[in-house]
Amino acid sequence: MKKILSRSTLLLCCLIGLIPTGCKRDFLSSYPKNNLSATNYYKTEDDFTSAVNGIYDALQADRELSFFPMADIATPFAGFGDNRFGQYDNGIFGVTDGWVMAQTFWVAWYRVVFRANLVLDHIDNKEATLSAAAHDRLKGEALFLRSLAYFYLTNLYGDVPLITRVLKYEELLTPRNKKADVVAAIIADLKTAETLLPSVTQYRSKKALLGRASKGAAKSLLGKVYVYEKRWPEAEAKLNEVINVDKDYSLEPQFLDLFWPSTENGKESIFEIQYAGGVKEGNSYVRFAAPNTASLISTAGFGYVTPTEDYTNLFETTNGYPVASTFVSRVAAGSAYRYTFAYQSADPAFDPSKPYSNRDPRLAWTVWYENTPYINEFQARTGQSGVNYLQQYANENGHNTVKYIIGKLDLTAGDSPGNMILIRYADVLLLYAETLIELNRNAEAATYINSVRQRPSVAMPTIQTLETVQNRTIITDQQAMRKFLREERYRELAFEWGHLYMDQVRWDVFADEIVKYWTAKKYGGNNPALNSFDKRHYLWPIPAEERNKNPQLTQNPGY
Amino acid sequence: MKISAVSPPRGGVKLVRFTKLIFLFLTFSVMQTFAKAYSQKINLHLKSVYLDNVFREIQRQTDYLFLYTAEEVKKAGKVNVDIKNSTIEEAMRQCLSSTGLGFHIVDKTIVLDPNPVAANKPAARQKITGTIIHQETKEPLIGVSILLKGTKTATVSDNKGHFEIDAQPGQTLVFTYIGFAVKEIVIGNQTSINIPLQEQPKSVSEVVVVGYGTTKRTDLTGAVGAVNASDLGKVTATNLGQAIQGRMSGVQVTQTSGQPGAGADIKVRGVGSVKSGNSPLVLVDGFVGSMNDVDADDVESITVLKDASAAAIYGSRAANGILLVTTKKGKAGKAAVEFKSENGWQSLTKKPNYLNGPDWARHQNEARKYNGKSPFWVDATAPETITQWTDWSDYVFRTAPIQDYHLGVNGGTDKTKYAVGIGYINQRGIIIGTNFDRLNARINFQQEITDRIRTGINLSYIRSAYTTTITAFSSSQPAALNGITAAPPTIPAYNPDGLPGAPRPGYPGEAYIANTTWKTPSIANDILDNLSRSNKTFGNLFAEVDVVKGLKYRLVVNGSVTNNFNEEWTGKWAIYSPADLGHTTPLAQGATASLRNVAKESYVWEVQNLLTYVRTFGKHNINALLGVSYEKSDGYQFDASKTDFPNNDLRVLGAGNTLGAINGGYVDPYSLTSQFGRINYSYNDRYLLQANIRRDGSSVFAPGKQQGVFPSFSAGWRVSQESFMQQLKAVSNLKIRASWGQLGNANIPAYAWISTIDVTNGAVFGNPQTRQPAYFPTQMANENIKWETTTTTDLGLELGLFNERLTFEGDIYNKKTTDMLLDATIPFTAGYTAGPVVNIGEVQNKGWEILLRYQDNIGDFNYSGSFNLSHNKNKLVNLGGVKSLLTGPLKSDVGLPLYSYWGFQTDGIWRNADEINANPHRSGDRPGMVRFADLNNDKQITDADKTVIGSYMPKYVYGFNAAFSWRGIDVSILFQGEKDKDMLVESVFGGNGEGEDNNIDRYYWDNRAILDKDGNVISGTTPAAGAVKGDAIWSSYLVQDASYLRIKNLQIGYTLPKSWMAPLKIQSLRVYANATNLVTWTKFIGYDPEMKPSEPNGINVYSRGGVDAYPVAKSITLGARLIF
Repeated sequence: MKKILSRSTLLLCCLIGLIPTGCKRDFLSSYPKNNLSATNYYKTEDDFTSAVNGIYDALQADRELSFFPMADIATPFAGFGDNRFGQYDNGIFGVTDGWVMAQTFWVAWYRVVFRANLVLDHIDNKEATLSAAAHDRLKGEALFLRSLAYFYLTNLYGDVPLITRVLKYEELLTPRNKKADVVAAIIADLKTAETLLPSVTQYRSKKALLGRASKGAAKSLLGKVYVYEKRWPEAEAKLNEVINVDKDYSLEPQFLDLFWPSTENGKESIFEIQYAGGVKEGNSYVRFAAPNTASLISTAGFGYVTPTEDYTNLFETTNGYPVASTFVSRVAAGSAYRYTFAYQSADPAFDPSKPYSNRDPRLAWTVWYENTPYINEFQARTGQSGVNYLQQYANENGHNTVKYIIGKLDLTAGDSPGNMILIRYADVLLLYAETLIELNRNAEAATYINSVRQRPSVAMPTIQTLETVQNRTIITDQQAMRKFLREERYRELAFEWGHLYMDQVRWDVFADEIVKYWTAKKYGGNNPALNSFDKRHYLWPIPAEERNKNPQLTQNPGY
Repeated sequence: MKISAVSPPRGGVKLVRFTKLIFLFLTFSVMQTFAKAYSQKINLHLKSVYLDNVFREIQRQTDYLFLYTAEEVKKAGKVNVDIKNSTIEEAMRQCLSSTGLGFHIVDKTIVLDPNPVAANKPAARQKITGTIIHQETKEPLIGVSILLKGTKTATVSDNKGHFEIDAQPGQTLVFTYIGFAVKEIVIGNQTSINIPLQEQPKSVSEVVVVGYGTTKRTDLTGAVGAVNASDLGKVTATNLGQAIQGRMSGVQVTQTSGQPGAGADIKVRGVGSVKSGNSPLVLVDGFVGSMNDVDADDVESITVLKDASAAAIYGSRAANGILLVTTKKGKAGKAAVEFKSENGWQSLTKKPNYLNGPDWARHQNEARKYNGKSPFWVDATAPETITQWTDWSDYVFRTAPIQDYHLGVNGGTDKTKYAVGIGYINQRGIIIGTNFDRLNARINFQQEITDRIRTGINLSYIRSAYTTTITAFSSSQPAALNGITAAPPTIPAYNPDGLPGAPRPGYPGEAYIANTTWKTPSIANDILDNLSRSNKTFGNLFAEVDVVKGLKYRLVVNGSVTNNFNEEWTGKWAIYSPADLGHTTPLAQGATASLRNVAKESYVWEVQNLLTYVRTFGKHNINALLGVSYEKSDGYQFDASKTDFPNNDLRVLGAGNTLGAINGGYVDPYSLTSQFGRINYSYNDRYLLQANIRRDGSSVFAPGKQQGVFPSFSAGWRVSQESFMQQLKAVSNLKIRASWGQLGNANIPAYAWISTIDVTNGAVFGNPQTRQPAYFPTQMANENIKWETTTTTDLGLELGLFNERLTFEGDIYNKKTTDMLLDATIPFTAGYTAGPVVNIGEVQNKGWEILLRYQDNIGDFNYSGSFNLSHNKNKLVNLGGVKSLLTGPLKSDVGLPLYSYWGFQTDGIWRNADEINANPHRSGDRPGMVRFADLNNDKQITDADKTVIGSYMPKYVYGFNAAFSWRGIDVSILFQGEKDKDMLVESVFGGNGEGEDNNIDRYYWDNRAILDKDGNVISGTTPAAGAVKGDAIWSSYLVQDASYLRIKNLQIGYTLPKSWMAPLKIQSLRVYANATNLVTWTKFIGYDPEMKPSEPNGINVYSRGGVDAYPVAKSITLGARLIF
């Protein structure tokens, strides 16, 4: 019996010995190895740099904000869009609160806001060990990026929740704030940011920082906000600082250099979303906007942005004469169409059989048209050969967009290294000109418009010359100047980052223009011949899914 | 009498069921041998026990069998025994010394003699002779004990089933044989009698594997289902899950894919969790594994623990039920060698019915006209002119061979036992380019070291390889099944130049494929090569020690190591117009080749310490278990890709030039500590009680929140044991049982409790641009998350009638999952990619299940049938204030079943413009489009009109199994079905009105709306060609009834007569033909109704509703099973 007892005791000891009681807690405790834990983060300059980079990462997420240039499809100046952009084609008429793009951009911009808030919540903490210079720059970048996000949010959706710190789970359901409050916050933040941020000249000398938000970017955006708000004196002051006081920027002599990776972040660049190929940081805009692969322009192309004849009509001849087009016919060619238009111009040098020859050079640099001479330049820049462009390479309208289409430099047609330009100096010059026109300083405005027109590679006649050639008054007529300024913006800034769409809406010309475009039925297609456009659609719907998640959010009228 | 060693049977033996006979034969001869070899010394130290306990112990230490009655044991009372190193005779004498009982030994059977003195009195006797045979197979039964009732006279049948015994007329002979019903015969005037013995139904004698042990079925108080080896062998399946399909109640097995080597989806009693998974825990020989880990031929049994009482011993991982897979163990006896070979073919269960070339062109024309475009196929290219076309489904699907071999060896002595199994399966898929190979080897070895210590080891190795040139569905890669509908049938699979078919000049209707990522199946087949390999080694090691009487300690160490390697190759490609003979201008191309390799190594280990205590005190039976276990797993993954390979032949990463987009790796740790206990108490074999408790600690929770306690209680009453039931001879078994218990579930990713910062992203800056790290948290954290709890109550009834010929088992249950772990939905304004995991809400699964079996024989003809039917009703009771979950058409909301299909109710199609104008409609509605119902009568069609339009979870799951045998012929057929189940099929099939380019099912073509000149519908019931309602508009139009009934399995076998085999030294040879998924009855338009959407974690899985999933295959195989 004793033997049995001792044996069982021994066994029990074995049993207990097998229980690692002492280290039981450790056995179950494990901490992430793939990721950092947020609790101990946000201390050093490296921490905050990576966190601010996280905001830029949200900005450059592929197929989100990189698709925003397609918003111009909504205007009469471009068509198609297919699929998720199809709704643009009809001028965003008939979209519902389930419209996918309304949700895509909402999500993307609020992600920027959130990541900026993460930085701003922590950067003034006592534990933060970063240098004053780094602190200021990083905080300024976060403020700028958050303002940028709210600028687009409030202009697209109107009243939006204004969230300026990271919210806890139980605080997440916030209502919408008035647009005026959002704008006030943007202005306040940008005013702070411009004092914190270094000038772009410092970035240009310290090349590793190039591409980050600069003082000039904050000022330019602030100027733009004032313009959007029609606060003309403030706009004049701020934009004047950028143009005539700081003088950090100048026009890129070669218009095209703006849109090629090798020359990006140049002297005209104020703020660009940075993309690089091959390192998971590219964008797939090329894939979606490039012409049909039969053109050999790109390895894949869905041709989502197809400029119309309404758009090409904006470009005068090099002598300064307008050109008009009349729809003749449309016949099927492959899965697309061939269009025939009749063209006319008072320019004696104009040859209707070569309607796009001798036109404002920006036409060829913005629109692919049949047998465009731009092919040679394109081939030279890409090193490609055999490139051709025929009307039927486009899904509609016989054209495609040129900007950002960099061919096989984007190896997979889904990983483009090309940056996307949000704000550039020409935009600022034209905003300033617009401000001056509104302040009835037309003559001054003309000089800024002329400077854009007379960029060396463009070298189009000045407004004064046009007045002579076309025998009409422009500069002294505020209405005419407004119209000219607007057309200049269309010519200069099309299909870059939604400028055309945003401008038309803020000028309240969108509804009229789109109805004109539809009723003309000029392209033989089946655009619905709608006679009215409900201006309530100037504001996009608050995404249904978001309202499902947050019942506090009201909907914009009309949805 | 004496039984000699094995020798070929002499004449007279006819049809024999080999296995059983030979086995017995072997067993007996071996027992003989060992009885001589070791003189079987007995050691016994028992105090105050009834004799049956003593006998049980002697039986355990020796190979003697006992024959006695309960009255004898009762009469004898309790005894004390202290025997050391005694022979059996000495031991018996000691045991019985105080009882007044005698005994004698006949061969290896000890027969108690209630009246030793009387037995000595000689009586007038005559010699009775006879033969004992198996009632069904007519095989002679060897070793049957024959006892002259009330005497010590006894004998045993010989190897021909013969026996002789001296007896008088009027006396009773009692025939006893393990696994057979006891039979009593009153001797009449005859001197020669033939006795057929009826094999006892399994339900009476069956031992069921339960958590950390086994129990008699009669002792169960929980809901348990079991399938044995004989049924498992019937289905030709590379996955064990399929082998149990339709054979148990309360268990829904779905073949989600026909991809060779793919697993089956198993659900036990509905789904109770949104996030933590709904698949039962699979334990292979007690260790975490998967149904893919084991060859069906190596499996002895599969048990499913369905309710809390049965499963609670597995605590935190038991909420979805437990599947216990037990592999075959060695059995004492001469080595038995079994070889199986099976070869056959698989094909589609149903060939899709897409449009042929001319009709596809007509469809495209009509669709374009509908959308205001000019038709492509006119004049010289009019549909009538199309005489040749490609049936892409013929290109993609094929009849594919399957071969399956298994070799098993099994044997041992009473101390040392072994079983070895080697299997190989090669299965070609029914989609071109798919292939599956699996090689598995398994060794089981058990050794009794001393009479107190037993050890064993179980080692398995499985290597499997899967290749495919095509993915079934992918949004980014070329996909065969998409390609079938996306590729124009008018182009050939291959052009004369050997390259994949391309659009022809002058055929604009074909052109769009050049401009899309939906490549034709031939392009996909040419450029894609996917390969995955996996090596898994796993094993168990155990040692068991008898500590004191009734108390056993068992140490189990389990471990597994898995290596996976995956390779995805996409080659360079280009297609050229057939007119472009010089290949100058590719119409479409992939400019660069890319390769991705993913390697993963993972391990799991577990240590179990178990103490069991089994004692009987009079009528009180106690069976207790106490255990602790530790489990840890981790995994390391490495992931890399490159592009720009010089050609299509160099397919290693080193040959690529450009770093690809994916270069990563991760680790995946998990640990679990557990303490658990179980006590079973039964009184007088009729009142059964069981209590379980388990405490689990899991690393997925925050420190301080890791532990969870899961109790369960159950009780059973074996009414049939009661004396008042003895009158009812028809009732052989009646048991009522009830259980209550709580189970846990925490199958969520680690670190949901801690806010983590994703470090894999970057942003670019500078000139030149360089990538810099960009860090941010993606998921909101919640430190307070805890275990999800499922509370189950179960009420069961078991009934056996007519000596268990007819058995019934029924259960009703209520399963309630509370504190559901859910990803809280957070507004996008929060900025996180995902919300925190929170414990909210409640899901209820209520249901019932029945199982009915009948078996009997008419002479040589044996038949049996079983029917099982399960009904489950799922309801989301509470979402804790969180907004309803909606992913595509799948909605989970309070009051609805989880994952209900959610969308518009349809009202046919719009017939004309007047009808549209007069009724609520969506903007852009035109005649020929689907019409949505205005359910809330607000005169407009909005999201508020959406409603539940179906559910992919069947309300009823059932199976019917019938088996017949006659002489050597056996037939078994299994019907299996699901009822009240829907499937939402996305528009690719034509259900929503397809666009211009894709091919559609002929049903939607034949029934399409035909429009007159004014655009009004003149006939048809489905949408007009081209009348697409738009992307992602879910409606009841897309929902199909996917109820089905199918012949899951049909097997016809013939066991060759033993007399033919004997000269070949073959013990048994059975040849058979086997068919799986032979016939299906369903209304579903699609490949197969059985496929169901996977758990909705991706965006595409639900929507394509089995159209883009790898279709389930039909297979017909021929096989042979040979035993030496």
